[in-house]
Amino acid sequence: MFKQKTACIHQGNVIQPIIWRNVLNKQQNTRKFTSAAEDLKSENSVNEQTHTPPPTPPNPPNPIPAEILRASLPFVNQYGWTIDTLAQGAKTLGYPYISHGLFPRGGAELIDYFLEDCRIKMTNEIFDKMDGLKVHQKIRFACITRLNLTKPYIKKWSEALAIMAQPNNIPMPIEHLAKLVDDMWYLAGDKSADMNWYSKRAILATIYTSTELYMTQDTSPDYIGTFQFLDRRLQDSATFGRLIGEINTFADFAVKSTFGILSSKGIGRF
Amino acid sequence: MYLAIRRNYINATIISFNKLHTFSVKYNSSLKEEPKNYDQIKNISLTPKQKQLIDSMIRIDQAGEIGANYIYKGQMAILGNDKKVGPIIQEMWEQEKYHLKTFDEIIPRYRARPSFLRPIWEAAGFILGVGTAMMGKEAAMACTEAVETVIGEHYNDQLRELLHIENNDISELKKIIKQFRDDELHHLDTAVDFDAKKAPLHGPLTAIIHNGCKAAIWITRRI
Ligand SMILES: [Fe+2]
Ligand SMILES: [Fe+2]
Repeated sequence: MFKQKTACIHQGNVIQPIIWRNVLNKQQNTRKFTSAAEDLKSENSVNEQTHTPPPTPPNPPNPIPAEILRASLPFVNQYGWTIDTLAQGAKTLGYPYISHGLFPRGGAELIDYFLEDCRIKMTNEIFDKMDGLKVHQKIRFACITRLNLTKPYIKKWSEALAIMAQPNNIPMPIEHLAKLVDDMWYLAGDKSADMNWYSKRAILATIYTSTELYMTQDTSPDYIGTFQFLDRRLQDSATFGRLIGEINTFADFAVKSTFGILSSKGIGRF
Repeated sequence: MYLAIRRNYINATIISFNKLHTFSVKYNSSLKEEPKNYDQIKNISLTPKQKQLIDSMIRIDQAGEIGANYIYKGQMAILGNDKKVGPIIQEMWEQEKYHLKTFDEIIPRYRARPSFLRPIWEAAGFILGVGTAMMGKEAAMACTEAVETVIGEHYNDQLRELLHIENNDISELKKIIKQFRDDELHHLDTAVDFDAKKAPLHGPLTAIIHNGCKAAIWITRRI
């Protein structure tokens, strides 16, 4: 259902295929550029160089884009999820400018990296701290951990939401959300292999997204309001979940979920 | 602590039993040395393509076992009291229940996505079971014959594909699929023994069910 993207993990950074391609493009471009500039200088030595084997490309290629993306995050609060932020990030790494081909999706590229990075950080942080918790406590813990990772950027998060809502960007956040809730249920030890698999993920995705949205508007100290909001949503879903029970037939699903949505007015309430 | 971690991750990773020991040792040492990396532990040594292949395999197999269960359930609803075929169908159904239970456990363990159309496979299987049983014992057996032929062949194809993948993580899956293939082929033989070939309209019935099963496989690979 959700498109599986191949991603390579290098030094803990996930580099999407598109970025790999760009690295290669960039390397080719720079090679062309230097050879043009040094054309005259190296003309005499070309004959000598033909016998030396071409330099083998580093394997894996130099992960410059991932480095730039990571270095850019501290500038998000100042410049937003924009290409300017990426330029600032590149500057800190000593690159005076970034070529246009490097980040064709602009700010969305940075959001893409951020979401993947947060998901990995969340899983790494909680996976060994789940002992003795009940399922709903595990889910709550996972949500809170993940929300805390968005916290430093919350002032600029509505801007990110707007970028993600652009038609050509929509598949990206959906994929991240699907992976996030899948990880959460997995870490919570969920074993469902039927329609509950889908309803659990759908409900959690709704809860997480609405809580994150609430957080962007939250002015309460330490975001207490957000966490209370989260608890209310989880409470609603517990009632909702009991109502669904174990879904066995499609008719059951349709009838009970309609009834459930009608009776639990809390879903979607702000 | 150690036990708890192992309990958490026993289902988390695809571990064959003999690999469990090395896995735990590896995990314990990482506790002391470097910061734990969930992704390293979670990811089995399969390529994304292989993971996708296995994901769809498990999804199809589970859907197939759901369908098979409901076919036998439907047949039992009609022929349950029949002295001759009743116990035979019940016996095959029991095996299908075990198959389905196994795949229901495999799905979370391998982190495969179950089929979104489960209710539809249930309904389709039940209708097929009831429908053929109402046509008579022989037609019910012809249905079993046709379904088990497709499922048996399908397991065989999967096994062939899995044999190309050299990986300890899936040795357990290989073993299960091999055993289930043999079970299905045994069901096929039983159906033929109980006069499946004597069913009215044996040819068209078989053709319809064959195509239906293949269409279901095609759909389940995707949805
Ligand atoms: Fe079976
Ligand atoms: Fe069977």
